[in-house]
Amino acid sequence: MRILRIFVFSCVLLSSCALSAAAMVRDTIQTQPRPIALEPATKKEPLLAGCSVGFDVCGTVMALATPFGQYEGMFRVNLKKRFFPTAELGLGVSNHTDETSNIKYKTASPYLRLGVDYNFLKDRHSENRLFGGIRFAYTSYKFDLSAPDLKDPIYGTTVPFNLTGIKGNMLWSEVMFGVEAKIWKFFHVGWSVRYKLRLHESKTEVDNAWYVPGYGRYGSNGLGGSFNVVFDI
Amino acid sequence: MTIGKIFPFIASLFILGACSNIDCPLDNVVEMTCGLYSAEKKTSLKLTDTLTVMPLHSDSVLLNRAQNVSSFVLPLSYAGDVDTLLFRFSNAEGQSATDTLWIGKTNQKHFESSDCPLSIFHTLQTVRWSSHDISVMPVTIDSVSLVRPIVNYENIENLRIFLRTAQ
Repeated sequence: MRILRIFVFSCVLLSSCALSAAAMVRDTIQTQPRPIALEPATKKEPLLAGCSVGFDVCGTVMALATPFGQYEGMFRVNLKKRFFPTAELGLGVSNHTDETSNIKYKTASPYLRLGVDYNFLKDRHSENRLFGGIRFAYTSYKFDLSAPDLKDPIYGTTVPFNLTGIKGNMLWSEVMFGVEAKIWKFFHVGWSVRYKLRLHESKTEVDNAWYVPGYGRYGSNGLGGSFNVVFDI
Repeated sequence: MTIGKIFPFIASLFILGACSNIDCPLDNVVEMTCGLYSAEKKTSLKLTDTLTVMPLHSDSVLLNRAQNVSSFVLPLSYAGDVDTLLFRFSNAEGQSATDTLWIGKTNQKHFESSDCPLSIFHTLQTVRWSSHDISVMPVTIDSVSLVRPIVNYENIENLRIFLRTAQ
């Protein structure tokens, strides 16, 4: 079952990536004749060139098909088609019981990311983006942990291990890189890879957490990604 | 930079990010490490007599007839605030005597990851001991010092047990 879920998730992810890449290539081909140099050098972009909203498909698929994931929405402002201040608000969820240890981990907590993207494309009038960005993110979360009773090594008695509402918080930063392509009029898709670096965290009552909402697995290598569906408003 | 160059780069990052590993500690046994020292010389001591350690009110044996040891490890109870351990010394001449060690502690539940076993860590707070008459059995606990209160996966000396011997 787990392998099937991973397979489905991989197929969705790869097809999504292929879709956005194909859209970008198509748009590049279609727009190739447009002479960038012919645009007036002095043409000024308006400071506020638009706003967008979107959500992360990758996190939603993960939430539905894997042990953890997130439902995440974003709001973005387009400044001069070059800078994109962005807010991402999400709900990280996990309800997972490990097959071997029988430890159950359950959480559903919000997180917030604030940051800015920079569009590297020379042709900034293109509806596509090749961007890098940074984020600062914070979550204050709670989780429940339950496991089979522990057997005391001296007296042989059992000690329960059921804890609810364990509190923790984490502040982290993200460096990201990604692409976004226009699919139709106000509809865009894009994906990004992110490297996450923990800046501050509180020790929980049981020392560690397993999944931190928005950050991912606590002991992971800090790499993550997203696949966004974006609508201009 | 073209899409053809970017796509493999980002795809490889996705594949790298999809890798998961299990970071369970290799040594996941929580035990208190005790070192034996000479009360007179304050140096490490190899015990030539036999030492057995048992908890009070339990049939379990925590250290069974150890000889020629200068250190050993003992488990601690998961729930109690004070562990009472009986140190029974004996020798080939048939002499034997028992000293008692009371260890006051707090217990902390420790979670590493969903795929690792759970543990109980301890923080040692107080240590008391009793000694017997050296004429009954020519080795006894003279004093005990607490050198590292945290008892976790690391096998670092927690207690120094100074033994007084008949010279």
